[in-house]
Amino acid sequence: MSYLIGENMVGGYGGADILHACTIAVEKGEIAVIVGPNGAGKSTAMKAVFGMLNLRSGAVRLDGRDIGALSPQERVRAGMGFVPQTGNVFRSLTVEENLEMGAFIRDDDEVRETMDQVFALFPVLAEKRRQPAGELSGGQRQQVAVGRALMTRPKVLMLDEPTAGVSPIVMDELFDKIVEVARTGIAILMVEQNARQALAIADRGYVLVQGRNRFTDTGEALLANPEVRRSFLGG
Amino acid sequence: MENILNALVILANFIIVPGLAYGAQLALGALGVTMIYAVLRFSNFAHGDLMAFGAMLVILTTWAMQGWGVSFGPLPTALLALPFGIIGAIGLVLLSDRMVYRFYREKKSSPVTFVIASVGLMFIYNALTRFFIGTEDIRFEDGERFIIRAAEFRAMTGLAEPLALRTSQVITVVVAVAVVAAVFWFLQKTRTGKAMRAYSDNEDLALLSGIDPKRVVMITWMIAAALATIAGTLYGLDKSFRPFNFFLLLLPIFASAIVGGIGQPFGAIAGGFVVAFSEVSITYAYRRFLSHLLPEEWMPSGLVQLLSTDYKFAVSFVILVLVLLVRPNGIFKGREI
Amino acid sequence: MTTQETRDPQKRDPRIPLLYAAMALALLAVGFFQSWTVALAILNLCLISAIMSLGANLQWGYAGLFNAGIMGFAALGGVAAVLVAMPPIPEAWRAGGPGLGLAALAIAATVAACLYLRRRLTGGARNLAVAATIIVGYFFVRYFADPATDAIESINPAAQGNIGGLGLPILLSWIVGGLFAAGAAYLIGKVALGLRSDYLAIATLGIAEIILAVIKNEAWLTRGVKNVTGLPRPVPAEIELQRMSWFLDLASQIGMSPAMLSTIMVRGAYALLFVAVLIVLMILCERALNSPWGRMMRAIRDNRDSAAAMGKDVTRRHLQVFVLGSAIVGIAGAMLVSLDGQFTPGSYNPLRFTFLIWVMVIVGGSGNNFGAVLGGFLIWFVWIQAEPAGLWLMQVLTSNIAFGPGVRAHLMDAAPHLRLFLMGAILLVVMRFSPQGLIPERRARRA
Repeated sequence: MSYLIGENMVGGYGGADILHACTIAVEKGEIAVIVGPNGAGKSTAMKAVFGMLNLRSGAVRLDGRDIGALSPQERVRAGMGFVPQTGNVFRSLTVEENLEMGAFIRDDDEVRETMDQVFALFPVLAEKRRQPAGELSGGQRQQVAVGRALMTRPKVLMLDEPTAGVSPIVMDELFDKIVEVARTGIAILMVEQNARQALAIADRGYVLVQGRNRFTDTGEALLANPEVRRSFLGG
Repeated sequence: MENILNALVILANFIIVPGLAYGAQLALGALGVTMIYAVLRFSNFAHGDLMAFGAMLVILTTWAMQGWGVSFGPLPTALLALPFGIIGAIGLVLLSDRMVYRFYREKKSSPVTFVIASVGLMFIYNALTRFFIGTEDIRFEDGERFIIRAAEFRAMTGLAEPLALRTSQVITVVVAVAVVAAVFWFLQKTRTGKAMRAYSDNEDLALLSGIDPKRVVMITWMIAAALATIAGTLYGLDKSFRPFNFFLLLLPIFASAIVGGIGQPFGAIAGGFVVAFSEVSITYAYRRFLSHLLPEEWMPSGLVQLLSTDYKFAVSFVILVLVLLVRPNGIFKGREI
Repeated sequence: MTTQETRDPQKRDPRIPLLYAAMALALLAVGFFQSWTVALAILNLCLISAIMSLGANLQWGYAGLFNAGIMGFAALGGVAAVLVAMPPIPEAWRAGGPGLGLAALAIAATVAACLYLRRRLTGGARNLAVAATIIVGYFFVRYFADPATDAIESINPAAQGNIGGLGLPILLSWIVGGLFAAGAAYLIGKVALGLRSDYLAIATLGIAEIILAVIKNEAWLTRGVKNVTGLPRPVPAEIELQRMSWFLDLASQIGMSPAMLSTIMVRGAYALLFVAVLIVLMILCERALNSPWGRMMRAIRDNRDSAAAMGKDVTRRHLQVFVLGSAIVGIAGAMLVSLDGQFTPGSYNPLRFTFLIWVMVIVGGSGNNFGAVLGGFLIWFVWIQAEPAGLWLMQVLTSNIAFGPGVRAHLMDAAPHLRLFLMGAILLVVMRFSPQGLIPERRARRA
């Protein structure tokens, strides 16, 4: 039984179905990556797991509990953190305020400590804590976005194309950080365009095509699979 | 030397002091408009009439207090009555939101639908104000009228030109500074204030972070109503209370909010003073000012007034148009338009 | 994308004749129970309101533009009535004509210089140069105009003190009023269209206030707040009728007092003229709505982004419809002043002249010309009848409940303001529960 699983998900945004019996799962401390061609339903699959679209059939379970009826906000409370692809920081708020807003639903006294942990993970954010997030570079903004999501102390962190539009160097750096986050025992589910690099750090990879699971294996195995290489990794 | 002093006193008496007071009133009004815009994303056409409504409640309470013999010493009784007016205005806007705006918010209607709804409420607020207090000019300032009288100033300094400082002007500036400081402290330092800014900045992410939109909207309305009542009362104390004048204030208030960058609280304050000082200095007749500085034979024949005071609204309008043409996001980069 | 709308002009909404008949009955009831002169007075203003509403509907219903300055365009129509129809005042022109001419030249030179600079320079230098030119130009204009206007205003100030008019038939001013309003709309539209919808509303709100300020203060033009009275009329005056022998015969034949009959005939003549204008404008508007132009307009309104992506020049189309709608309002403004026989700038009030028109459009049915016209009739009727109704209501209320005499007097004084409340309530209720209005837009049926 996986820690988080979206099982046989069928659904779309009202019109035709985009997902067809798609299954995505991730364990604690693991990194699961969803890759696939454009329009394969990668982001849709992740949004379905997060409750941002209604499923016609299938189930989403977190730690064995059916969370299919919960709204995204309720899923955040249940322990899921989500980093959208765009608009994922409060641009006019400072870095520190962004993190505070990430912890908005928490009412314990340890917010400060979580923030220090985030600053330890992303030292550059500690330096720029008083700067508005909108003034940071693209890579730093993504760090703010991940940090904001970590502020709820989630058990699962979901990232929708975290490296879209950043340079290769920044991408490597971000992936390193994501590995670090996973080591703390958080389950990570990530949609990625940069399939090769993402699969390199993935414990588990899902190749989706037209809303269906095409290949599912460890990241390493997928990278070694000649068919996957030929069709999806450009040789 | 004395000539220069006299000229400066004229400037202070006719431009700086009135400009500061008027600017503070506009700033408070514009701050409310800009906060509504930031959170609810529409231009509230009923804001002028909300100011009138709040000020009316303050006046009615003031009269009641005067009837009971309550007074605030040298300060106007209206300051004591202010909390009651604020509570009433908050009640009115919350009721309006519950009965009108909430429906369109849930439907995610376009901003212009909200604007038209605010026109409907404008009629209603207007009717309520006129129903309770009529349309006449009302002066409700009591207590000590002046802090420095013209004659006293002359005696004190020996200058030919007087500087009169009215209590209402000083109160306006003091209250405005206190209120603005409180609003900024709230926005910058409190959890709720930060949540409000977060909601205004990125609604989806705010929802994702567990910020309750209903609460944000409610608090925005409460602050806007309080600011409107305070602005309306200060304007009424400083000049006089006449319901229609508050409708006319809508234009300079919008201009202030847009000049500063709509949705930007700090911009609204700056915009208020920009508009006020432009209006006052462009419509002031500089003849007497120049008479102290220029030799007799150089004196121009006219009043040396750039624009007649009847056109003061044209000043806000021209500022508005210039900003829209040159820098549509305002000085402080407001929301995208 | 092909337009899927299949609009069938033959197939009329069955509600239209019904609602129009009900409206006619209401007016007839006023005739029978109050008086025919009152009924005709209401009818005339209903017609003018309907035309203003038609203009506002062109902007809002066709294009989704919020014009909060209807008052200003209506007032410009009034200015046209004065400038076209009043007799010229040659002394004023002798005294101030050259100065005004030079001022006009100075304006033209300033505008030309600005246009030239805009073309030749770029960036910050351009803005600075244009600003400097405008300031210098402003002083030149004032230098020529101030003495001229003072001279004009000092000529027979009790009765004239302005430049007078052209002494042409006042009917001509209805067209000129439309042109004035169109010109003003072009200028403001150039600036404010293409920005957010709220900004157009704020900008038009401002332009209306400024137009009114100019009209009130530039006494040399239309006497300002001193008002212009005794405008020539497009129909004979009551007094003239009462002197005609055929008229007196007619009055005695039907057994009506000549005073009453003359009022009815004069108001009836106005009504006929207004109906003619309304019908012409209505035909033009309906044709426009059903033309490719109208379809494109609604396509832009419904999905601005996709229309823009298809290469439609959205701002240009909006400018066209904004100018046309304002022109119609200007025509109605000139008609109103012709009906009153006087121009009183102090009577223009945004609630009555801008926002009441909005209530008419929304209640009648935005996007439907028949709806807008019905809204004009209905809301004006309610607006007029609400005042006595409010008084009556207060009387009933206060006579049954024991109030002190002071409270009672206050309530009676305050009663007229209740109609503002009523208008707000009508607007909000219709928006909420019947957002399409009484006669909805004939919507596209999917083919």
